[in-house]
Amino acid sequence: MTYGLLWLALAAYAADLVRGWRWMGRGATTVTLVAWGTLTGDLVKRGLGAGHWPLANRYEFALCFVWAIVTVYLLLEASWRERKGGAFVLAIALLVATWAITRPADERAISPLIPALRSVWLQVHVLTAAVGYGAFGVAAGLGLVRLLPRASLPGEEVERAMERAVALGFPWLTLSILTGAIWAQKAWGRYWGWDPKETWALVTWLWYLLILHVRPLRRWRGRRLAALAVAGFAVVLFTFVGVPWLVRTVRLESLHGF
Amino acid sequence: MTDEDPQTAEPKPPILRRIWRFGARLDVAAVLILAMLLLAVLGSCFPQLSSPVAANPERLAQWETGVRARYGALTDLLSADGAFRCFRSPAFLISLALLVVATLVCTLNRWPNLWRRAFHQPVRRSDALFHTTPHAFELAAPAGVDISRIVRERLEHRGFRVQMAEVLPIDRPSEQLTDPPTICLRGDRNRLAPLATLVTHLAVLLLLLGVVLSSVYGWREEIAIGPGETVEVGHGSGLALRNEAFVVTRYPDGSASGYEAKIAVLEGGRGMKRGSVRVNQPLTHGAVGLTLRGYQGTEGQYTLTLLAARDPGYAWVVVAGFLLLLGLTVSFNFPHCRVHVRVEPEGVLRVGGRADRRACDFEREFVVLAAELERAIEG
Repeated sequence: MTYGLLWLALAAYAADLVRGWRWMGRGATTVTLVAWGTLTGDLVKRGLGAGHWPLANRYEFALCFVWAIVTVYLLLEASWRERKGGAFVLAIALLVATWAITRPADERAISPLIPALRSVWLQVHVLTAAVGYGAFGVAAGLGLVRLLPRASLPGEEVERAMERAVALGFPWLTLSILTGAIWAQKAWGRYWGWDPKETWALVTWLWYLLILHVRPLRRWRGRRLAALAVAGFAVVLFTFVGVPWLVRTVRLESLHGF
Repeated sequence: MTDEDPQTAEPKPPILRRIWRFGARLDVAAVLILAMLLLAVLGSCFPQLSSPVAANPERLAQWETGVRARYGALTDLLSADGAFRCFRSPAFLISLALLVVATLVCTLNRWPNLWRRAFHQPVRRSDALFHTTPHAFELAAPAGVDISRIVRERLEHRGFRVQMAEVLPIDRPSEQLTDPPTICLRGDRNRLAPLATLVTHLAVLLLLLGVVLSSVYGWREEIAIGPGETVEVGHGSGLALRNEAFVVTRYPDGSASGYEAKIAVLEGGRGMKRGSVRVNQPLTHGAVGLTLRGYQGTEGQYTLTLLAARDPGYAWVVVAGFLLLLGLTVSFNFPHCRVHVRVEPEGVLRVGGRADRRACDFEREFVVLAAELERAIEG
């Protein structure tokens, strides 16, 4: 149901963007709010059914990732009072949601927590990562708006909103890496081990650090910065989905379950 | 360093000044960040030889056999290029060192300016400021209205810390000194926020210090202990570990829900501490932590693999991590906002404002402030 609602909201936001139908934009926000509510309900229900937070595998993380994108976007829309980025941000959310619902049944099944994940740090580490990634998803959606050849919004305004999303996501990603390090020290006796997942978390962090450093440079403003934000989300997706593939393909060793 | 008074500062040799300025440049930092990022990507594509494996000839030989089977004739070439020790390669370490230097230079370079902005900002400002500030407006007030009180109240209501000063013109004849002076007000919100940038940069340096302490003074030892056996930890710790029991708890479906190793820690044969090592719950004895790495065997007869580690850098890393987080959170979410006000004796009110970040939000607030002041002065 949430998936269908997200598509509906995307269509409504697109109509607002292309045709300029304000009422359609208001409808899109309402549908997005309903989708957020149903997704929150699904996550709570899943958590209660499993007896643990729904953060125990890649499918559950993807659901939280979508939840975070929608949450950050709705908060940004409320403070920005502008809906023109909605279609692109929801397209990003739907990309992640589509990946989630195409997971095999065994990956989507509710299962008890394996001993390695029975720690309070699971919630803190994974949830903070989801919020950080969600904010970067919103920044990428706004980056796509900025890259449009004929933008219907002043570029500077979109850029500021995009920067705000990056500035929101960066401390959350930092917290996620920090809590991951504390957890690794407790579980594996070392806070950093150049595990492929850790390395790519650092790559993601460095990418957004790069964005924050080039942001004040005049020649990097505008479309270049937007392109960096979009590419940053590709790095995020690789860290999430690509690293397990890399580990399998190159036959690397990784202690990370997902 | 660029903020030094040219009258008093000792002149630096131009080459040093150029190097200093180069090191403080944002684009230089960006290039170094990009270099580290690319090397990290490269390192993630190849199996990395860890220090414990490199230190153990048997495990090293095993690791080399595995790598050679995978990469064949390319192994020697990749090895010579440092692909398997990417994070200890000169290229990575030099990039890291240069980034540390750039961070340090940037911190020192910005310190005087940020410090002055936080603690030594003048209240009295000339008319010129109101032409250059990003946001400004002017209002004419009717006679008899205490404008400075109204402005102070509105700014304080919005969370600004307000300072006030009077300006007495030096060229006014002495008989006119009883005339009302020009009143200057300065409102600051999140005045100390610019210092968060320094906290962030210092946290990065502290973090690297922690990493250095870990790698220079820390040690890790993987120890296999059979049931009932006692094995020495080594590294001059004077500790020995005895495997007393191992328990696997299970969910109703039979899958494992937890592992618990009961360990006795013997210190130089003088005393004994008994405790449990569980997954995610290490046993700590002094500065040495014991974590459970694995087990093998059958019910009641398990050989345990424990990791004994001493890491004096860990606490520094955690403190640095939280400082970094504090710096980032304050920098991004609590921008320093300044409002300068001049109340002229003729009843003209000039207001100018600026925010370090989130200019859009401040612009909106500034418009609201202008409307509030206009209403308050008229009403």
